[in-house]
Amino acid sequence: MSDLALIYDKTTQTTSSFSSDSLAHSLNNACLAVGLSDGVIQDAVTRVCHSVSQWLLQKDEVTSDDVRRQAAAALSVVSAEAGYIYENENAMI
Amino acid sequence: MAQSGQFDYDLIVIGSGAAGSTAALIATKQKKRVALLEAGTFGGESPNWGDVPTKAMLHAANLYEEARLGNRFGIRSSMLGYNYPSILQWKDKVISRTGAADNRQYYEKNGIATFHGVAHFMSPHEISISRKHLTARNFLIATGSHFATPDIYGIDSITYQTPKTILSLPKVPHSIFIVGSSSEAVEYAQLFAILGSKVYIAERSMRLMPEEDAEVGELIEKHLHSTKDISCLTQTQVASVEKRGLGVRVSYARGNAMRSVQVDEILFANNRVASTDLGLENALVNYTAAGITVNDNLQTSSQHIYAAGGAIDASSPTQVAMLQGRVAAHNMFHKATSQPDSSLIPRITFTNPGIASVGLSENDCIKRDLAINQAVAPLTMIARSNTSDFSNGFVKLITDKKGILLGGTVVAPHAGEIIHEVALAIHAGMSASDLASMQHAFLSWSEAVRVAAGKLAQ
Repeated sequence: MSDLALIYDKTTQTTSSFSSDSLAHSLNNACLAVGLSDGVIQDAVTRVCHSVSQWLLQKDEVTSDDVRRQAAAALSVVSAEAGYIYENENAMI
Repeated sequence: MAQSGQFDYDLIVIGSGAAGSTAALIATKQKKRVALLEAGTFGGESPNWGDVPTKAMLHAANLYEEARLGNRFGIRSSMLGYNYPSILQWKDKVISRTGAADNRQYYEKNGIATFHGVAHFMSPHEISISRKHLTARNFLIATGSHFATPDIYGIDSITYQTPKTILSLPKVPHSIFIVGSSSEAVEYAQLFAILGSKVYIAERSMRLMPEEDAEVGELIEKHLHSTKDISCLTQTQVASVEKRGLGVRVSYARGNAMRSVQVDEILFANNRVASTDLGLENALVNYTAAGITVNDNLQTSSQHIYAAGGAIDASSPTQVAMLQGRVAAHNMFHKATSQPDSSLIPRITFTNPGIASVGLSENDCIKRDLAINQAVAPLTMIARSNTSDFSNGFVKLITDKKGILLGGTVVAPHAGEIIHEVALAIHAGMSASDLASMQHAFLSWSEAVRVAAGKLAQ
C-alpha cells in the first residue's frame, strides 16, 4: 500500500493514505441507490477499487476529488446511473 | 498553498520535450525563475526514443539497402551483411551526440530548477511532484503524448511494442505486424523490412497514410509491396491477439473474411493520445479526448496556464511543438501576444523514397470548397531518375485558380529537402509560373518541382 499515492486534503492541507474500505463503502451506497443486485454490486466495487488502486500506483499525490472522478469513471462502465450518483452525491440533497 | 503574489517560480514547465525545454530556456534567458518537471527521461521523446533514434536507424538501414542493391551499378555486394547490435550502438551514439537526451544537468547549468517525478495539479497555482508542492505564477503544460493500451481482445495476454519500445529489441524480429499506417508506422515498416523482417502493416482506411493525398498512399503501398515484400493490409481491423509460443497470433477482419497470422512481434503505432492525466480538473483546465483546449495564444481555460505540443494535439510533429513552446513562452510574459502559424509546417516521412508535404492537401481544398488546379510530375519525367535508376515518386503542386501556390507533395529521394523550396514559394505567395521560371539544376531531383510548376503555368 505504501506505493499508492497519498490523498491531499486541500482544506486542511494535510495528506492521508488511500482507504480502499472507505471507497468501497461509498461505491456500495451509490450502487444500492440505483437498485443494483448484490452480485453486481460486489463485482463493481471490486473492479472499481482495483482500477483506482492501479491508477494511484502511477501517482505520488492526488486530491480526494481526483479519486472520486477516477472511481466514478470506472463505475460508470458498469452502471452509468451509479457512476453519476457516486460522483455527485455531495451535491445531492 | 501559496499566498497571492508569492510564488516559488515565475514559470513551471511540465515536460522537458521539444515544447517544454524551448519555453524553459527562453523564460530563463528573460531572468524568470523557472522550474522544469519531467516524469520520464529529460529531453522528452524526440532525442530519447522518437525522431532522432529512428532516423539514425533508418540512415543505417538505407545505406545497407543501397549497397545491397548495388549490383545493377556494378557494385559487388553479395557478401554484404549487418550487425544489429552495432546498429543499436550507432543509434545510442547519435542520441548522446544530440546533447538533448537525458540532459537534466544542462538545464541546471542554465539556472533552471529541475524535478523528476509525476506532476499533479493540486490547485490552479500549485502542483505536486514527488509529494513536494511547488507554486508558480504561470504554467506550461508540455506533457506530450503517449501510447494508450489498444482496446483489442487478448491484449492483456501478450507483450506488445509501441514506437517507444520497439527500438529496444535486442534483435530484429523474423516477422512483425504493425497496426496503423501513420508516418512513423511506415518508417518502422520500411526499417524492419530492410533488416530482413517479414512485415505486415494493417490500416483501417482504404489506403496507407490516409492523412496524405491519395496518390501518396497508393504509390507507397505499391512500392512497399513490390520492393520490400511488405504485406499492406488496407481496410483491415485487428480483432484479437493471442500469445502463441514466443510470438503472437493476430486475428484480423479484412473484407468479409477473418484471417490470422503468426508473428514474432506486434507494434501498435496508431494509439497516440495526449497526456492529460495530471489533475487538470484541479487547475480548472478544460480538455477533451483529443487534448487540452487552448485559444490562439495557447492559453488554456485557466489564463495563467498555457499548453503546447502533443498535449494539445497528439500528432504534433517536433517542429510544431518547438514553435508552440516559443510562442507560449513569449505570450506569458509579454502584453503583445503572438500566435503560432502552423499552416506551413512541412510534414516529412523519412522513408526511401521520402514523403513530404506542405500547405494544403487536395483533401483540405475539397473540405474548404476551394477551386484549385493541380499538376503531378512523375519522377520518370526528369533525367535524375535515369542516372539513379529510381522512378517511384512524383511532385504534386496545387494552386488556386489564379495560379498562386497553395500546397505541394513530394515523393522522391531527399523529399524532406526538396519540400522546403515549395514551402518558401507558398510562404512568399509565389505563383506556379514564378516557380517554373526559376532555374533548377540539371540532374537534381528538384527538377521535378519545376516540371510540375511548368504544367500549372501553361
